[in-house]
This record gives sequence, C-alpha cells and structure tokens, in this order.
Amino acid sequence: MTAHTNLAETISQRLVFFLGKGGVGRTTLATSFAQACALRGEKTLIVQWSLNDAVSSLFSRPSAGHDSSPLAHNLWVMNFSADEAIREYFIDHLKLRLVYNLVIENKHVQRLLHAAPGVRELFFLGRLFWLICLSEEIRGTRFDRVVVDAQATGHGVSLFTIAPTIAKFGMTGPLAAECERVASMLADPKLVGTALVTLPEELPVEETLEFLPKLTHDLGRSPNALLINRSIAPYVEKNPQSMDYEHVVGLWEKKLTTNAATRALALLHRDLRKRQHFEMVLRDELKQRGYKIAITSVPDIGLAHPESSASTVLHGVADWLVNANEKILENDEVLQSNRQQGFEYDISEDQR
Amino acid sequence: MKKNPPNALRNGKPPRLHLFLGAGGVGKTTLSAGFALALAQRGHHVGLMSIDPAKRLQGALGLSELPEIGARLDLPNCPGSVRASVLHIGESLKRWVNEAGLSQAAQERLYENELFRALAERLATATDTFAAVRMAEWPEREEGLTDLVVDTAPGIHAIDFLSKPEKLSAFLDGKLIEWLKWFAQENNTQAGLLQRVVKGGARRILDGLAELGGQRFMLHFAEFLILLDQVFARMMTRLDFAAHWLRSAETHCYVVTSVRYDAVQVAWELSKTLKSLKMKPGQVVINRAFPEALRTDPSFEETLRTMRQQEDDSFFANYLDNFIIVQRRVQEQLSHAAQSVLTLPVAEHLDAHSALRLEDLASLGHRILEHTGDR
Repeated sequence: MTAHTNLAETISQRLVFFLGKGGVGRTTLATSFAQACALRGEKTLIVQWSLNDAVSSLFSRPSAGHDSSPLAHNLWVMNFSADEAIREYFIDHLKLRLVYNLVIENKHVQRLLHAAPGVRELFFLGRLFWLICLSEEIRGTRFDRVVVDAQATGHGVSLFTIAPTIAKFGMTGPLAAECERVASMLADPKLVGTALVTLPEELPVEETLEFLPKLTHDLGRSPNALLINRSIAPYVEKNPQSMDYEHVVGLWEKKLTTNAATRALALLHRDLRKRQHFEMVLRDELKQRGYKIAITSVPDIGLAHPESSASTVLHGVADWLVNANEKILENDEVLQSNRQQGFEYDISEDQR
Repeated sequence: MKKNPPNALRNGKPPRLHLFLGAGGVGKTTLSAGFALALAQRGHHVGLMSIDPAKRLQGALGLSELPEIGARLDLPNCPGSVRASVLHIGESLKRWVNEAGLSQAAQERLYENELFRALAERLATATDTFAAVRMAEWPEREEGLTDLVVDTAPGIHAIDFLSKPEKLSAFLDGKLIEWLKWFAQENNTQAGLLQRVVKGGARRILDGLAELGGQRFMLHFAEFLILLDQVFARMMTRLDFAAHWLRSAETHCYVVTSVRYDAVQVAWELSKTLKSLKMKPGQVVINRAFPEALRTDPSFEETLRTMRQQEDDSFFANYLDNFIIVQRRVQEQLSHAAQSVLTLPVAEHLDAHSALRLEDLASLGHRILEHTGDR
C-alpha cells in the first residue's frame, strides 16, 4: 500500500502547484518536493505568495523578496509581491512607463488594485507565465522546475478560475491578452502539474473529498498527486501491533502509577489510531469514487526521530521522496545525524 | 449616498468582539463555539460567526446546516443566548442587494453582470474582503447583542480580514468610483461643459485604464458600480464601524496554536502582526496539548525510556516523546511572543470519536474565560 514511487517522476511538469487548505503542511511538502527536485539535479525555484516568507528560515537564510534568492544547491526561493509584479508588467514587459506613472501609480487606481478581488491573482499567474515561458529568452535564466506554494485563502483553486472569469468581463487590450495566455498555460497538462496536500484527520479528509470534484472541474483534469502528510501508515505497515490498543495500553498500564495517567495514555493512543483510520477512510472513498490519482503517504518524520526540528523534518521528507529510503523511517540516531550533515550544502557555490 | 449609521454606532457602545486567529486545523472553530456557549451560560447574548465548521460541530450545535443569516441555538435552561451563523459571502452579497431596495429590473441586470457574478460566486478572495462587512452587520441586526465571537480564516491571511477594512473603504470612498460612474453616464448622455472642465484630470486616467482593459470592460465595471451604489454606501458605513470596532480596547484576540511547528510559526507571526496593527496583544492558547496527568506520572519518564528501546513497541513511545519535545519547543517560542500562554490539554470528551456535546464545548469556553480572568 505504501509502495513508494518517486514523486518528482510522478509529477514531471515544470510548473507544479501545491494545493491544500491552511494547516495541512502544504508549505513543508512543497519545499520538500522542491528540495527533492534540486537533489536530482534540477534547477528549482520555490514561488511563495505569502505575507511572510516561510521557507528561507527553514534553510537558515534571511527572508526572500520578489526576486529569486538562493537557498541551497540548485534551489532558489522568491516571495511574490503584487506591487512589484504590476510594475514589472507595465514597465519591463509592456514598455508603458508613462501609463504606469500616470495611471497605475495614481492614488485612486492604487486603491482599486488593492481592493478589487482577482487583480493580484492575475498578476501572480502572469509572473509564473514569465518564469516558465519567457525568462529564458529575456534573461537567459531557466528553471527546470517552478514549485508554487499557493496561498491559503481560496485554497489555491481560485487561481485556476481567475483567468477565465476575468476574460468574461469583456476586457480587450493588453490585460485581456494576459488573461488569455495564462489561461492557455494552465490548460496545458504537460506543463502544469498539481499536488493536493491533506492530513489524515477528520476535517481535512472531509474537505479533500468535497474539494476534489471542484478542483477537477476547474482544472479540467484530476490533480497529479494526492499527498497524505504526517501519515503513520508506513510505520504501521512495519509494526502492525502498534495499532493494537489492548497490547500497547496493556504494556504501559502495568508500568504507570496513576489511573489518570493510563486514561491519558489511552486517549493519546486513540488519537494516533484516528490518523490511521482517516487515512483508510480517504483511500477507500477515493477508490470507491473511481479517482485515479497517485496517492502518497508522506511519513511523519518526527515519529521516527522525535528530536527532529521543523528544518530536519523538511530535509527528511525530501530525502524520503528522492531515495525511497525505508531506513529514514527507522529510529536510528546515528543515521539521523549523518543525514543532517549530508544536508549541509555549500551555498557559496550558488552565490558566485 | 445614503448614510444610515448602524444602531450600534448611534448607541456608542458596540458588543464586545472576540476574534479567534490561528493556523488551519488548530481548533479555532471548536474553541470559538465553546467560548460563545460559555458566555451564554454566563447570561450573555452572543453572536457566533463561524467559518466552515466540521459536521461534528454542526451536529453539536443542533443544526444540520448553519444558515448565512444565523440561527438561534436551542439552549435549554441557559440564561443567555447564542445566534450562530456560517460565513457565506456570496449569499450575504445577494441579501445586501435585496436590502438596498434595488428595483427588480436593476437586480436582474446586476445578477447578469459578470463582475458581480464573479464577486458573488467565484473569486474566493472576496471572502476576506467582505468578512469585515458581515461582522459589522451583527450589532445592527441583533438588538441586545452583548458579544460577537468570530472564527477567522486560517493562517496569517486572516490578517487581511483585520487590515482590509481601511483598504476596501479607501477604494469605495475613492474618486475613481465617481469618475467611473461619470464615465458610464457620459457614454449615455452628453456631459455638460462644466463637467468636462472639472473632470479634465480624470479623463486622462480613465483613458489610460480604458486602453489597458478596453472600453467595454470600463462600461461593465461602471455599470456594476452604479448598480451597487447603495450597497456600497451601506458597506462603507459598516467598514468604518468594523475598523473602529477592531481597535476598540474591549476587543479581544485569541491566537490559537496546536503542538505543531508550522502552527506555532503562524501564531508567532499573528502576534507580531497584531502588534504592528497597534491592536492589543492576543491571548495565546495552545490547544490539544500533552496531558499533564501522564507527563507527571512518577513512572512515566522511566517507562518512556524503556519502551523506546524495544524495537517492536518503540513506535508509540516515539510518538509520545516527539509530542513532548515539540510541545516544549512550541512553549519556548511562544514565551517570547506572549505574556501568558493558556494550555488546553487533549480532553477525553472533546476528542472522542462520538458526537460532541454542548456541555463539553462550553467547559472548554469556561477554561478560556477563567484564564483571562474575564468578568
């Protein structure tokens, strides 16, 4: 069931959107995936669109801005700024500096751009189009992979409907052309891949089952992968008795002093079993509904290595994605510390 | 523009506002529902504005589907009351159009307008933009409301909801709307000479915009604005109120996190942002924490060590160990961001598989009220 495929091969597209509601670990998995691509030798860029860059700190780097900055070998990050993108679009792309200065920078027009829904999304997609289709020609830089950590609001899906929606407004001129080309980019299944992230918990599973048909409709195709984050399935497979309530709680009960402690322990064990339960619910439902999506159970790295920090979890997942290495899931302190050392890259190489 | 200040503004004292902020999946919705119930048990008349509650929670509240407009919960022997609603901006917008008294023909034209349809149905970002309007509507609609409990969208994007009132009202109040309306009307009737002179500067901007988006779009957009004129006027008043309400000394924020690195990062960012918005620091709540009874059991440490050594049974021990380690780090990080941190451990009645009960939800709310020493 947890048979492992290399995700970077399952999702082979150059532009990959990571989707999923806030709190499911979308940023962590998007970054791990990008890191996995970089480890395979692909020049990879992580595109965030967030109030605060949440990725750089995981690599002990200062916050990134709108321009891409290096994180590790083969790996870059940027944090999209709508204002910057709008400026680039008018001045660098359309060569309309005068229009920009007179119209766009006008106080009232600025207010419109900030308040109107959809405008910033369009420029976000426009920036992705530039990265994928234009930057090689214009700047001579090419990313083999662009991994998008799509914003939490609107679950990222609004990005896929924004261009057709705006196109309906009856626009003509350069903005309409922009809508058209981002829409045709998104429609290309060879160019654009999607990974939906979820958790093996009640509400995320419920939401995923509701969200999938909508996403499939808006996208015109199923997502390429479904990632179940913080899964315990890979561990349970190796240690089935860990799910046996009588066995586990029985073992502990004999050793604990108070009844209250045993009750609390039983509660925590039930909590853990719930994860396995909801993963099964999700897998069964998807099977019944006939979805043909590659499902990957991404192991909860902290359960093999309790001392893991946010950063080592990230690298552990990346390594697991690349190597299909079951040993990563074994509780082996030496292995863990070796791995951590292996993650130290020579960043000076990127700064040259 | 019709100015119709809401009752709450005229009376001078709005209900107390309680905002629950935090990453997704940390239990904001559950905590805010529990908090509303606890207030009601203390005799308050409470509004609860929820975002997408789980079925289990809707079940507990005795409502299979919470309506946009809100429904009063059936709370036997409760001195106060709770009116609960789910945020659904598309439906709210249609209701606001209805309430603005637009003619049937105008309503139909509006519903045909692609911009309106996009706003109402498709553009998910509109939810954040208009949540503050919906929030400000509560004191107008509910006579005698003493408290409003708001469950916000997950993540630091919820801050949009806090910072947008000014942004949106800045636009609604801006010159551009007047210009666009004038632009649309000018295309129907011949504008007077005086108007031409006065609007001379605007002309250039409008021509520039028309060049970028096309004349048809501009007309579309202007029609949209004209049709929504009265709706926007009401919104303006409400946004104005929301902006003041958010910054009132009576307003409380609860920053909720669970024992997860990403969730604590969000809580930390939220605390910083509240500060930068010059709002009162939020009460930080660590939800679903490690149970004290287990951690303080005299034999726990020793048992944990032994179990971690046993290959076949180490998995559960690792899970417990990881839980404790992450919690310790989470608490450490939060101690720098907050004056006091409330820890709510995993609780039997709340985390069971079975249906939630109102009593259990309320007990959670009482824990928060007791901690904050509130009333």
